[in-house]
Amino acid sequence: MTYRGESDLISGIDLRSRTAQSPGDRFPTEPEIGNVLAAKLKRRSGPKLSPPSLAQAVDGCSALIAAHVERPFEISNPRWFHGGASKLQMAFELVWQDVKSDEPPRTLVLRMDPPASIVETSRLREFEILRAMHNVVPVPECHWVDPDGTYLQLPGLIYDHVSGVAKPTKHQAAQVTGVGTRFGPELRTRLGHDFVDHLARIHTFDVSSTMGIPGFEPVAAGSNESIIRQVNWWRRVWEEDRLEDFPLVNVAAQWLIANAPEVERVSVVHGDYRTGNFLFDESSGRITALLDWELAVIGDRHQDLSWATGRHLGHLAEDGKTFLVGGLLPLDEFFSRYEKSSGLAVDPKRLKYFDIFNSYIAVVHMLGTAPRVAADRATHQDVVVGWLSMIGHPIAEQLRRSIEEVL
Amino acid sequence: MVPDIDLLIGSALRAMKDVVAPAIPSEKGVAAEQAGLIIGVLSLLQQRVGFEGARSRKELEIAVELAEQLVPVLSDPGALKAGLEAARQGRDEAMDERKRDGIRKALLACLASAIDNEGDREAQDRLLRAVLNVSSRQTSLTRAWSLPSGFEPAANGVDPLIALTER
Repeated sequence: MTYRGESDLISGIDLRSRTAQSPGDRFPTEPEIGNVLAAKLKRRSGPKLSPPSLAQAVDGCSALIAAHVERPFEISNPRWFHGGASKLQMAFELVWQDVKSDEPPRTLVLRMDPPASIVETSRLREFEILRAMHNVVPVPECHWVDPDGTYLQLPGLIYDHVSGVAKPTKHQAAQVTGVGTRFGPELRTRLGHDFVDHLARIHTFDVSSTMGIPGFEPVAAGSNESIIRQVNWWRRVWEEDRLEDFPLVNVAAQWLIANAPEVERVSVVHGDYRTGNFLFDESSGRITALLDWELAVIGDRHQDLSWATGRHLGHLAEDGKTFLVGGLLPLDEFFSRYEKSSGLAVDPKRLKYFDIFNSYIAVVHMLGTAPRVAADRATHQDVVVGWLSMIGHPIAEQLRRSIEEVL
Repeated sequence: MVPDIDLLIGSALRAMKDVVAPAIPSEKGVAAEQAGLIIGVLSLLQQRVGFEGARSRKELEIAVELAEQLVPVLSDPGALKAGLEAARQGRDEAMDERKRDGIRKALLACLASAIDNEGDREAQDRLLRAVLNVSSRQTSLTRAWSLPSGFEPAANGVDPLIALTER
């Protein structure tokens, strides 16, 4: 069934009543996403929170673990991770203190929300999707989640530490978050094959097993309802976060609603599948973990295919002509390998829709939320977030051109 | 007499590069990453501070042009017309930059509201085309301004900021 947005039952939007309702009422989305966004507004209007100190994060972890295990334990060697832009991450050793225990310490990672983030997402959904993907693709094993910050003050989860690097130690010409990473000719082919094959596994995963996960709403094939819910998610974020208007964003949202395609095949969608969001072993050239599942949705796999192949996430090869997807594989090779590995065809028309969709979301993040977060001075990463916001300008032009091309 | 802004930024940049960044221990990854970004921000400011007035005027000019194109298309242009009138006064050369920026933001809010409130399909289509057309000037300007950030995938295709901010 195809919905057309605006005042229909699914989108629930009446564009003629912009100021009459709150963004949450005007742009209905999945309930768990609605909860996350409501919590964001509550934090924003409440007393100013600071990012936790290392000692506070350790105390929170201890409380969360103690609520789930009865064995005595100790947390040692806590240290912050750097490199990300949206979440706080602390590695630590969990040492069991049973009298007779000879288990070695286990290295774990706390991944938690800062008081404000460039992208507000659900730790519950991330925990659930990581568990669903365990043994499907390489992901850290998840242990405990604190979905509403009962123990950590802010939502967070704890998973296994996975060894590997996010960018090569030899070629360091990368921006924050891994954008523009140069792997060099030797490494990129091996990594590129893993990159595509894992994406094919995610997209061919039997999605019916995720239908019972409480954080995700079921998605029906043959309906565009789930895509409209997602557009609504980001319209709502734009309304709540922007410091100034940008008419291009308003017309893009209208176009996305009016042209939302029906989902042909329902898949798990990673949501931010790109270089910088996986770890790899430099000697073997194999991916050791796919990370950052916070934007995962159940929906149309072309969303990932479009995002992964985005121009701003890759670069040209040494010949100055061949575009390398994520700095890994030529575009043609990426798609042909994906089709072979997944047994699924790539639909250029859907790809084009999701080019516009993904550019829209990125503009909302970078030109809406990033300046808001930096202005509110609520993260440990204000300078990172402020800097990253500038990537929103080339993406805005990409959004503009992509819509122009389909008119 | 106050110190020259360029001199102050240049001094801070050199201090970060020559003194502060090298003193950060390698195990302090977060601090090292942020020191690198502070160097990037100071370097960008050094290149862009002289353009702020011209950029602000040009952005208002683009918003006014968009409003002028949308008014004849809208079913009910009343609110936007009023916003446009106020914004035209903001093009005064002598106006304080903060005040001009406030006028520009108010006009952008009027534009966004007019787009959201338009219910006629045909008008929506014409609004879309007008916004796409005028937005290319806006994105050219902001891409040129942020070029030193290094995020531009096609830096050769970006016009020089000086050319975009000329009268």
